[in-house]
Amino acid sequence: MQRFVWRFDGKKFSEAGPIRLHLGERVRFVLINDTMMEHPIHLHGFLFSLENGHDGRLPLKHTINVKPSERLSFVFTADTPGRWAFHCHLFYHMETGMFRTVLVA
Amino acid sequence: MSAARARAEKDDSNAAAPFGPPINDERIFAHALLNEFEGRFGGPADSFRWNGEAWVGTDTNRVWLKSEGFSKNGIVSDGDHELLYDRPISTFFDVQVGLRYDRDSFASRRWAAVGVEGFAPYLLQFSGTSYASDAGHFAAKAEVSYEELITQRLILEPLAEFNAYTRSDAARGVATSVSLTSALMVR
Repeated sequence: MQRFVWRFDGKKFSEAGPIRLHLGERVRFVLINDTMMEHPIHLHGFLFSLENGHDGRLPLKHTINVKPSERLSFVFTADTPGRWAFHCHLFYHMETGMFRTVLVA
Repeated sequence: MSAARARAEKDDSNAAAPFGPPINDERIFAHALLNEFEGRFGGPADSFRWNGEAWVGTDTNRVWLKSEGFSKNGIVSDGDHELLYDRPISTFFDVQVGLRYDRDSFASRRWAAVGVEGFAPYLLQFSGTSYASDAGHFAAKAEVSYEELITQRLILEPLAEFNAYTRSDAARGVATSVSLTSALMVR
């Protein structure tokens, strides 16, 4: 029987520290799904702009489904201080490590 | 540095205070599976065959136990018991290092074991192990199986086992040989 581990950047939640952002910073997250499963990625606390190529009409979202072998990116302004959850919304992926704390301060 | 940032830097943990860690991804899991567990009774000779595996541990450190054997008329043969330490080396494969103990109705043998165990994506369950005995014998074993889903519940599983020994061992009925056994299971 094979193991069941899901991670961001090769690290489980317990192996990684928080993603640190400066308050007011404009940031881009690039998501590359190198697995064979879809991952609906949810960022708490912010609405991000999905970079879909239609400048000026980027949709605001809090969750984006990243399909196998897909690369996508989104941008947002870290304008709310605190600790925010960033995770795959398939909870059986999240529970095995596909989770990060986004720390805005 | 803002006061809020200084406060956050002080507490370096991932915890979403005051609620504690949002998830626990460092759990200990256990697994046991009997691939074969079949008795044949009522004929001229009763026989019984088992082949199973069990492990316990975290995602990265596990202890494996593998055991197999064949019993006929109360005589046990083909007894192979292995205690292995298991650790991931790639996304789908683990390395296993440990001891093999051949223990049944015949002479006992001790081996050191090094192998690879894993699951080629969507394809084959694979394990390959090489052995070196305290008498200077070498051996290799490979097992491959594949699950063909006839329905979601009914599974056809062909499996093949390959065994090779560099030297014969009359006390255990082992010849210098390469052997291949295969089976087809429905479950």
